[in-house]
Amino acid sequence: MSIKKDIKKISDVTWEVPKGYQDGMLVPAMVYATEKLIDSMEEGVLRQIANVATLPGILKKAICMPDGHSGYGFPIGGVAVMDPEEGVISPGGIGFDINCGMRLVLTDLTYSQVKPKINLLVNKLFNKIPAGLGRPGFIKISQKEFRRLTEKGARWCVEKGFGCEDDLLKTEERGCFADADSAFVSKKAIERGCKQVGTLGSGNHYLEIQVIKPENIIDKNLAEKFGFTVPNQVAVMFHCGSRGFGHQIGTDYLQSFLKVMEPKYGLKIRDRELASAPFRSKDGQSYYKAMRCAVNMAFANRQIILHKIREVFSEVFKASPEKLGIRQLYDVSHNTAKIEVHEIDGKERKVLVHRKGATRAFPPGSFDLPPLYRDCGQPVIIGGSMETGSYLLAGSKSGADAFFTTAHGSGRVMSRKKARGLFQGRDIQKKLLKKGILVSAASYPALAEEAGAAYKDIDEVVKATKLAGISKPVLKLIPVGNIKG
Amino acid sequence: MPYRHLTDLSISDVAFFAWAKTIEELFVDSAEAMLSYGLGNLDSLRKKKIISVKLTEKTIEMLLFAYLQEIVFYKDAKQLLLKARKPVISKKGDFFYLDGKLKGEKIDFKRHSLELDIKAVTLQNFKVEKKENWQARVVLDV
Repeated sequence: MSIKKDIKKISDVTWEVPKGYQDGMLVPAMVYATEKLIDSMEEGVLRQIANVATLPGILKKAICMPDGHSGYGFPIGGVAVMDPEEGVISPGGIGFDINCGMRLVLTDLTYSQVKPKINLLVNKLFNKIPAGLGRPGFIKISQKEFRRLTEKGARWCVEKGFGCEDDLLKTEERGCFADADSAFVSKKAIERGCKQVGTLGSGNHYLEIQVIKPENIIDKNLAEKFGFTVPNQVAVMFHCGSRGFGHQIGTDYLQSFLKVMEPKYGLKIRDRELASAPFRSKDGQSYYKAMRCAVNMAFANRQIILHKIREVFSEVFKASPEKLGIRQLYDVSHNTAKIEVHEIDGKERKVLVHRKGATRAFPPGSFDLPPLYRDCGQPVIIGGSMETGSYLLAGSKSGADAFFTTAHGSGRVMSRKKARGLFQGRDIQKKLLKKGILVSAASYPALAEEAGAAYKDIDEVVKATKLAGISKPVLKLIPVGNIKG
Repeated sequence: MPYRHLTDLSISDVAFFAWAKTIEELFVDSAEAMLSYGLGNLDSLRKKKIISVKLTEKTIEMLLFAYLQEIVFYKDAKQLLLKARKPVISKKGDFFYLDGKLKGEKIDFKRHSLELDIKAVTLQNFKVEKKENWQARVVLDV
């Protein structure tokens, strides 16, 4: 039976799956979407977010973002806030690619300076930043040292000379989640992740050279505060996570939670991918500490990639990264669980926030933000398809209702296999080149799967986040060079 | 080819359906179905390296899950692409046991036509059942 007939329209951009929709729902489920987006949303997304609403300890409501699409257990775009004392932690609420996230890097270069060298830049970036199946990173470290990296995050990289303090300042949690403990990480996960530091991966992961055209600046004041001061300024955006390391941790704990969940804790769930453990239990805390190692590995991964970007730009333009103005704008995750303080029923409380394919979007005034951005709100990076462009947004005070969370990307509307049947990787490459976007891909079939038509309209997703008041668009970034795994 | 790729089971990822007369053959077919997403030219894989696999699980479903996950692990940890040889599967008491071998070689960027990087086996819509034949439905995270 269609779930769509049971959802209630609350406003032009908020929809509710009522608490009574299915047995066991402890809170209602809320979807932020325009009419166009809700119409195109798979029914599975709504069912999954209703399932999330049954998890023990969930507070207020389960939330799905405008780019929501079906995932494992949680939908991608799912947010669940738990009481840390009574509630559960669920690997499915974080995603297997733990701390999959976005990093945006600014340059002082303009498109007219970059255009004549775009071929060289894309080729060099493609060669220096391993992408696709099986390509190891250039960091060769022992398993013992890798364990240290997973506990220190991006700081490990800066200490080894792969970045600067300013990079850390402009990374969520300064590039390191505290209390990560690699003693809770399996040897298998260490073996998988050890050779993958500094690699982009595959699937929807990419690195893009982008241009900010004057007509795409939406909020001039915020754009200037974030460092966009020159017309047609060039930026680099990339999307990747904790690679096989995070996946192995997710799989390890999914398997162990399934074994103990019911006999040890009496937890019954509607979907095996929602496997959970009480947050305060030994099992819950073990996963939490291991998960934080994966978060840190992902920060380190993106830090090493930034180092490679600096090297490549420096080689191509024969100038130092400082002279080229290469500096990080921000790095933010969209697959995590964290303890944060939020207002619940008029009182500030510490809660456990699961965000899966959903971006933290703290408002102006938040002390967690670097001083430079404290008046602006947190930069939010929403990656679009390689054909349509991406957005920079800022957190907004009106986002409290969504626990200061917003969308993370476009969200798929077409399966990979279907996209592969409809499009050819080489055709897409030629078509994009005609539009002024040079694409270098590790695999043509994988490129076909990432065709723009396989994704939702990113403009509509951003419009929904703006109308819902959960983030404020600052500018749109248009791709001119793309590297795909 | 006792498997087929499924088009619409997962919007973000990929899936396959495999079938076989015996449970052991189903495991071999499932391993090949998974490999076929990563390696465009399956015939190019040389059997230079042998890996032994021993697994114990409470259900036959979780045994297949762990078996496929083992193959994903070797791809990342050792850069090995592996095909399955028919394993021995048995049940003693409450547990299912698998004793088998995987054969393959290190990724060769010149010879292998590499496509998707499988990152995990998922339990989304995951099913192993015996009807007329043994059959499995598996969604893979890419």
